[in-house]
Amino acid sequence: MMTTTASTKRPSPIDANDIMGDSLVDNLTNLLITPVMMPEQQGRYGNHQGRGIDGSEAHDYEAYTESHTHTDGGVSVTQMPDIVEHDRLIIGSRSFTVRMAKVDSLTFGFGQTLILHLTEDSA
Amino acid sequence: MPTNFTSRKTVRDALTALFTTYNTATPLWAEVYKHVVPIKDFAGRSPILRILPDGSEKRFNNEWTNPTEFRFEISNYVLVYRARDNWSSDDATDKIDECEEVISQIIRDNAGGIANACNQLRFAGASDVTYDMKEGTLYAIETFTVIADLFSGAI
Repeated sequence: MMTTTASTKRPSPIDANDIMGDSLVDNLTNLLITPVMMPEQQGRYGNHQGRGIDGSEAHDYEAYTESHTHTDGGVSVTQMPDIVEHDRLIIGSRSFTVRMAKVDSLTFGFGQTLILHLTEDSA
Repeated sequence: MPTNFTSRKTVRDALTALFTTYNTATPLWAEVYKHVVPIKDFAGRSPILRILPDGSEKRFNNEWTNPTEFRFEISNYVLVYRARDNWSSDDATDKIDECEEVISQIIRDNAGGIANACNQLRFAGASDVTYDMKEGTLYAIETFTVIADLFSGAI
């Protein structure tokens, strides 16, 4: 199922002036996820097309991943990917902002799944 | 003979420059915008200052003067919570108070006007603090209405 290769960038940490996220820093590479899909395709949500803050169309997507071998900060690791809110998920030329990243505890007994709620960045 | 008015953009640019100049010398905001903010530039960044036009009033008193009020909405966005940076709502509340002081000071220091833009600056009433989700992220948002007066809006 995890047939899509992706990478992530993370907003820079808070600085000495209490300013957050002036730049994005490369974080994960060789990340495998499911193809991004619109959540209504699963019938769990309503209309997920809306207007972004800048007035552009904003589409919400979901994707899933689980523990696997990828590169975290230049080091190969085998673990659940470290993806958190505000990270950017990069797939080819497309960029998505991670609005929520939660482990699906319902599958705990079978191995955990990381659910990503995404908004595609406007151009 | 047509009347050429000072544009609101000219005044908005000058007002924005007051904050960007301050921010260059004393970094306080991640970014100062003078337009609505794209999602990818907004999510997770803090504090963010945004200056938007908020209406205008022009009076035509006689043939020679056109007193003008340009109103601007100045909104300050502070991220409320981010665990990985140990940033709490307590920090956010302190930060929004700090920003309020700086914004007030900048407007007060320029109450006598901005060269080649307006004759005076003032607040219109009290500011307003709300807490709102912006693209999935909780921000504390303080909004000020600032009035730029032009004794004659015509050039």
